[in-house]
Amino acid sequence: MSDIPGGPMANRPVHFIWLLDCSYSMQGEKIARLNYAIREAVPEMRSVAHDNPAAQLLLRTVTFSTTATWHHQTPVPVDDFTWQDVEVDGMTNLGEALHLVSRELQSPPMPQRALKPVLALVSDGVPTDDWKAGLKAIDATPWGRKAVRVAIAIGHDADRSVLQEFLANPELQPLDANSPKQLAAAIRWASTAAVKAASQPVAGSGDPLAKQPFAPPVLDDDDDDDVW
Amino acid sequence: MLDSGTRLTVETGEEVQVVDMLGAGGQGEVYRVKTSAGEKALKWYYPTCATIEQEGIVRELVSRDFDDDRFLWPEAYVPWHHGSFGYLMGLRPDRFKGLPALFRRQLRTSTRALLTACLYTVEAYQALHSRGIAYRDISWGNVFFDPDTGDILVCDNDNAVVEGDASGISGTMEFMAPELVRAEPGARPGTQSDLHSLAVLLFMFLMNHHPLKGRRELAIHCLDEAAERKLYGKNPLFVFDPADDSNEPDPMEHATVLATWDASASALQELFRRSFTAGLHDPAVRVRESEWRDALRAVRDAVVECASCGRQNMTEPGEQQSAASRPCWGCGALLVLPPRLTVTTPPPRTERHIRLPRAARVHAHHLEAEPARHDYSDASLVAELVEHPTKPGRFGIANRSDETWAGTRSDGTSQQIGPGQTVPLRAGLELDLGDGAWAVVRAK
Repeated sequence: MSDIPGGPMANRPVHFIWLLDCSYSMQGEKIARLNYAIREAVPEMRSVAHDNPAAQLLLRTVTFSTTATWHHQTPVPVDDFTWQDVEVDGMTNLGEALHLVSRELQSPPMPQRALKPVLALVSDGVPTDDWKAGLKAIDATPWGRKAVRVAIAIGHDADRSVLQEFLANPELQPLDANSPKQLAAAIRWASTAAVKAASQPVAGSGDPLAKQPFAPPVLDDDDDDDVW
Repeated sequence: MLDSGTRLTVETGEEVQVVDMLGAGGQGEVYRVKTSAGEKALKWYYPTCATIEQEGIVRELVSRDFDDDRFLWPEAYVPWHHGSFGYLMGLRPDRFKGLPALFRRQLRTSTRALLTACLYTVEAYQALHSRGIAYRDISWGNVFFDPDTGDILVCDNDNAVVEGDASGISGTMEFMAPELVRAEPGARPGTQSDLHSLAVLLFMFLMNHHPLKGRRELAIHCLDEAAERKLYGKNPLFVFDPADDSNEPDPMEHATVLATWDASASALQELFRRSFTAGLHDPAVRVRESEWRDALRAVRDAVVECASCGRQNMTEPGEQQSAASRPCWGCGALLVLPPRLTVTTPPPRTERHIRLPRAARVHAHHLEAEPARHDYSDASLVAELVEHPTKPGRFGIANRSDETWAGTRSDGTSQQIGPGQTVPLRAGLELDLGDGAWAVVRAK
């Protein structure tokens, strides 16, 4: 028994769901960079979660290609989370992924009490299925409507308008990840700022994420032959 | 944002080199840097937070040259470099731990250390407020404490501004004064709203719970901005409001706060009640730092160990203790109160009641009517209760001061107690501690 009265502080879960594009276009360096970036971001996520004892961060991953599947099926506490590399497959069936997630945003399986869930979408292309129906399914759930959303566009081919519509807030912008360094920064930001926004609201006008300082690295030395 | 090895030039002209990143906050990142004076911490703002206003605040804070060991204060301004700027401050020593570890019960500490940390926190903010500086961002994220001693360190001081100045931060909602959460016209963060944030922080320190999170919070499915605005702004209600129990703690979900509240001294409960009833609605009646200080030091002096299990318990300070003793929060055994030392300070005369459990200590501040600051370290030790080296069970008060005390027993006989000497503990023993301070030992 402890030396001071009382047990741990009561907390609420934050369900964090990665939605990762694993279509063929991600093959090669892109998927390797994504795996690396997420692996790198896990300690940061842990640190943000530790800083907020009123929140319990739980992670899951959906990958989408020709089908959408849970890469991590059950929510894993961030302290127990280890990243298993995702691999590429076929098409870009974002709609199916959104449907899959929408089923998890019903109560149940969502608990009676939670903080806002976080949906983090990473894509490099154009969806090949009815993604709008998937988005509608998310928006039809109470937790989906409340969710903090972040979107990362990998490379110049990503359909930013789809990501923008997923964000459902004109104040927010998809994050551009045109270099490994930008991707790492974007993933890091998505996995920390979004958790903060979900777990510790700050008073003020507008969406806290819109004012959240996303700062890609200033020294973008990967494109150093670009002169303008 | 900054790579290891990056070199930056401080405004003083000195060059510093980035070693590694220490952490990230709401406004920027903190790096370890090498300087000619050893390693320091560098706060580096996110470009979106690197505003001209923030630069002004940092420059003003640096120019204040605020030398106080309880704060990691901005020491030197680091000018613009690739779209941002920052400042240097001291590194936080490892012995200082964040409050989240306390809230999760992941560190070992004691009731005395927690009360000391609360008292030091109050005095730290008082030191700022008395200089006309409002902190504006009091929360668990910027106070660190030593779980052994209760020493504290306040970090992230870059939102502290002179009262009345504009500052960008509106604060973490659960620490914000209700009028600020409601964004009432004319309500601005300042020392009066700091007092609300301070009360919330103290409640969380001691009770391990938020004072406004009761049944009403349980009824909320998604605790988002709208819900927080309601709980902390529009409709705030204390979980122990004596006039309205509609937000009382749930016995299952809120067992922690029920246990910690039950184990607290009523002197503190009373201040919390005022903070979170009348104080929610009227900033002018909020509990002031001096009131917290007086209650915390009195309760700290009345902490006793349970004779059965050894755990530290708060008891009612001074002479308020009723005949019916309270049970130990840990094992339920009735607490046995040790003798009490009543110290009377030089004018303006004030009494301090110090319970004398084993190893009880009297410090220099006990002998002052209005100590500038409380200090429970060895450096300020004046007297302590010790056991006779060869006669177990016999206790005495050892003189750890530089003064020779004059002692008078209850039979009228007197004796001198020089520095390093010990006088047997007897009911009725009077001690002249020098400089106009004296003390009396009482059985209860």
